[in-house]
Amino acid sequence: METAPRTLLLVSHLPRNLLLLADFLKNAGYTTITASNYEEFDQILNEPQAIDGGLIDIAGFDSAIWTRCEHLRAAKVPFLIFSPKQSAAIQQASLSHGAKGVMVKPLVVKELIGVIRSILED
Amino acid sequence: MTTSKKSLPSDERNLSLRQQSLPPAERTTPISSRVSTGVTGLDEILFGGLIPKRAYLLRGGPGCGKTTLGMHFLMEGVTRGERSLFITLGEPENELKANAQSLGFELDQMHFLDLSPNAEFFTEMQTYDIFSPAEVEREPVTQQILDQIEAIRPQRVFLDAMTQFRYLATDSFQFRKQVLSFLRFLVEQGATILFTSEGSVSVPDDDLQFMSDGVIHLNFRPEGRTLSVSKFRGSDFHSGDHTMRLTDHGMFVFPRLLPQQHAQKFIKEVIASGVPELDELLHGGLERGTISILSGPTGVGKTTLGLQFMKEAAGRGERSVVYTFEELQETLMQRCESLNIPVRAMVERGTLSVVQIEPLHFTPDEFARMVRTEVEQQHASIVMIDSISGYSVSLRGEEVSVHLHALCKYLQNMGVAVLLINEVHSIAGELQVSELAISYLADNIVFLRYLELRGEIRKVIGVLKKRLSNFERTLREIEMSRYGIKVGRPLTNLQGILSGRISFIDSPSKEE
Repeated sequence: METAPRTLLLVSHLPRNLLLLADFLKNAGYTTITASNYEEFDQILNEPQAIDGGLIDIAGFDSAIWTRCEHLRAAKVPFLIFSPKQSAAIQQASLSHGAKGVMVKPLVVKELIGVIRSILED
Repeated sequence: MTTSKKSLPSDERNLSLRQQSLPPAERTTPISSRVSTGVTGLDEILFGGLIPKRAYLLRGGPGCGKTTLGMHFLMEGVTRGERSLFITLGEPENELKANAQSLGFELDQMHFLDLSPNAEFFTEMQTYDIFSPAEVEREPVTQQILDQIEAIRPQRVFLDAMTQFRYLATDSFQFRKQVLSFLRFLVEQGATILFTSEGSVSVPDDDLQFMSDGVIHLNFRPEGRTLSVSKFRGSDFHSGDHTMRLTDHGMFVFPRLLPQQHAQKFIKEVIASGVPELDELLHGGLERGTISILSGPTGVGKTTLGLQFMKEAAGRGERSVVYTFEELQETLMQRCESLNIPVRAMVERGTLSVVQIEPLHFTPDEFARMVRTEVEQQHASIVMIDSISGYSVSLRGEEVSVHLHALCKYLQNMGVAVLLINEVHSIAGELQVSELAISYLADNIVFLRYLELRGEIRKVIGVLKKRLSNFERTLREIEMSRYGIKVGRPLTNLQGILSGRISFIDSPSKEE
């Protein structure tokens, strides 16, 4: 029996990032919903059941992003944080707000697929 | 006589050795199948041009003329009816076209593949950081190139700059692999490739040098622009730095003169001066294919003496050239006219050319090219360089005397009589042939000097050295007037002329 494609929420401040990520995930067999600001993010959070997982690029957002992360945790949506730099503070904040993991940009395509697969399986 | 007989076989041996060593280009890839770079001088350095279906690296700093040379390369293809493709990763197509037009290139028939980032890239819409450029752009860029190559099937490709691909590769191993396979792909499509690199100390391009079939370096140093070749698989090439010039009409390369590669048959005859006493002094005159130094202090008449030989040659219909480094062309001509040497008429008839060389304008390579054109196209038989110190001071660069040596040897091989004017600084005193260590060059040394006789300044002429014949050992008085050059009888009763302490041997009245 074929399973329905999993839907991932993509959040990034840069539209090109969303586009590239969506393109790449589409090729990997996922459907995506994108948000490039808090408004769009909040709208999606109103219906968290529509998403199976989240990929959140925190660059360009302020600390209010963590409240949204808490919402995802509450809705039991597993998610990953993409950080622009290797930073212990970001890693700690991410994990404490419910992230399954932190990845530093630029991402390596093969690695990303593996990580997404593993968080969705959990 | 004995010496000349002995020297003949060795001359022949030298000639046959030279012939054996001369045609490296023929031993490798025949010139006819070479691909012209579009720059004559560079083709000469490469023994006819690039070997087709290979990839060559063109390296140099900013403003060294890499793109200009690329344009020449592609334009040459266009004029030969070949399909030429310009792949640009830096400068956009419209800018390239505008620059090319200002150089006089018409790029209508040239194909362009513009992979340079457009202005949109700067805006947020195009900016990304989620993946590395290697992950995002390699595929579309590669695809674009493949599509274009397959559509055009170019015979010539110029890629500016290959180093951009470094950013599309995840590591240096990937880069090397990609470049090699890319070049192989182009070559298999039948193209000859010229690609540039933007090498710097922090990001060296040594790997590209190893990967290419040939490396051409463009340099911009304070003393001028140069071009050199350090690698050329399958062929020999002229090594060393060659002068290069970037002008409004594009690039010009002046290969370093290698005398041994030029020779022509000529009759080893004597050229007379037309002044009987002077010819007696020289036992006939100066020979073709010899180097003569005319030495003396300022104003003694060295240039005039040289022009006397040219006047006589003009009478036989031969062409001579004077390169004047110090004196203005007009002054020289006016002066000669007043000494009964009809330079203006000679210039009009084409038997004389007086070329004034501006200081610090030319390099020795450029000057050599100028002289070569005179000799090979205008068939000049006498060349005068006025003066040696002027040559050394006026021409840019280092090792000027080495270049002068090469030039003189070349002229010698071509059967040209070379007159080198050498000014000695001391008016009187101990005789000096030359302050510069160049007298070893000379086959003949003729000197002029001042002489004070009973309170009157007089001039004398003498011969110090003549390789191919004997010469008169005594000095003669020389006078220059509106009737021309007048040389007197041998001064047999004077002594101490060379040391500057002149005295009569016998009764002075006899000599007077």
